[in-house]
Amino acid sequence: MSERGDMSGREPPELLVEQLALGELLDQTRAAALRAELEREAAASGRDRLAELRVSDAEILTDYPPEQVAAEIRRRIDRAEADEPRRARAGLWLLAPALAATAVLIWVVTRDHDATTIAHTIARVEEGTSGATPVEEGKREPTRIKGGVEPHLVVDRKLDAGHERLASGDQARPGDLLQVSYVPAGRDAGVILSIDGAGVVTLHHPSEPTAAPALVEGLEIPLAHAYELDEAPGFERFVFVTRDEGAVAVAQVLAAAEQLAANPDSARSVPLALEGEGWMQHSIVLDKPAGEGEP
Amino acid sequence: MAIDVEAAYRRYGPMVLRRCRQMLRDEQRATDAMQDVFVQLLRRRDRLEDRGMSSLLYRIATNVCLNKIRSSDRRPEDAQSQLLSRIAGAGDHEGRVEARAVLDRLLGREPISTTTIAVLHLHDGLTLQEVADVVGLSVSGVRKRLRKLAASLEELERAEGTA
Repeated sequence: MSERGDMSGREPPELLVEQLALGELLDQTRAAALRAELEREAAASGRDRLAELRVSDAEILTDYPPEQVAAEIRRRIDRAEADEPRRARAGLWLLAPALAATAVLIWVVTRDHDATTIAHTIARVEEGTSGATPVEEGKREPTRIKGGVEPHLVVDRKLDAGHERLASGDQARPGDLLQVSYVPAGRDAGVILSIDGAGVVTLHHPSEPTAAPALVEGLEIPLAHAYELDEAPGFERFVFVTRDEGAVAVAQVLAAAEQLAANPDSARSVPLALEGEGWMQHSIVLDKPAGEGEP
Repeated sequence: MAIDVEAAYRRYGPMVLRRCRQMLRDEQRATDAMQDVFVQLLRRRDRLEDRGMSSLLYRIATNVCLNKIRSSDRRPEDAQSQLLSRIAGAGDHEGRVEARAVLDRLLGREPISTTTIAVLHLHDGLTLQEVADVVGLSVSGVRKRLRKLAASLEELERAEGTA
């Protein structure tokens, strides 16, 4: 099955046909391809799926009239909301420890980030560095706290209303929805990945290992999709790899990350070991509370 | 954002019912599930996204039906139903901390269910990119979820093999 959504060679999924019929298949290229495929299918087999949907719509709305169904839905909502105060009290009792932790977390992340000592650590890997020799604090060169001169990441946690910016060393929980953005600072290529406490490497940019790692110009460029933290224990480390000169090979960066991830003692803080000159790496590490998550 | 119940059902109800019929293979259970889907939609009315409700409703319908499959003692009648049953079982086996689930609901977050992702990809045949577009995650995030579920499925099969 083609990962690019190419319709040839597979039966179009029901959801996409439904969305086409509703006018909610927003990708115009995909919509045109799907429409063409359905027309081919209709010509070959006589089966017109869009027409079938229209007939089915009419049958369902006749068998289950909107006024009656809407009334039943409202009754169910009323019943659910009538039960809510009892459940909410029970839920709050269960939640007391979690709410306390959440209150602490909110206090931690709303502090003034300029005043914190936990800021972005930029490790410049000197030319010719290879192997996974750990770099000790104080010997990393150069280590700077920067606001935007060099390529770096920013991570925001989505809230019910708005978002909050996280700093390296902040805590995050499984289920948190994170928006990762990059500041390219003039670089036109880069790789963004994450390493978690279970040793799993996840590629965030580009979306596929075979895609070009092109970066967009701008101040803060958000990745196309948010990322939900899973149950992996310990930490989630986001890494942004760019290069002053020479090509950025996604496969090379991924291989270095996989090698690093295999050792939990170093995966949290040691730079990726990358052959060649001019590499720059920036990491943001989010810690997960002890006792949560599964290895 | 206020929603007109009747208008929402008129536009999306048939799609939702077809989805529930496809997964549950029983008209009464499907209509019951369809109504539950709209109840869930309307209780989120102040937190809806603006990009058309079909993806959201399809996800909710998938999740509602998986919950019904998981809690049912009916034997699956065909290969597709067996697949859904195993995915639902793996999701239950994966397990979610009860306190976190309650916290999600109180904060109004719709948890992005790994089992829903698995159904969209393994049962419905959507590509990883199409799944990512429906659920609003990255392709790499979707892939990671599926790897985890595959591990849960394997663990479940091993446990059943030794039972």
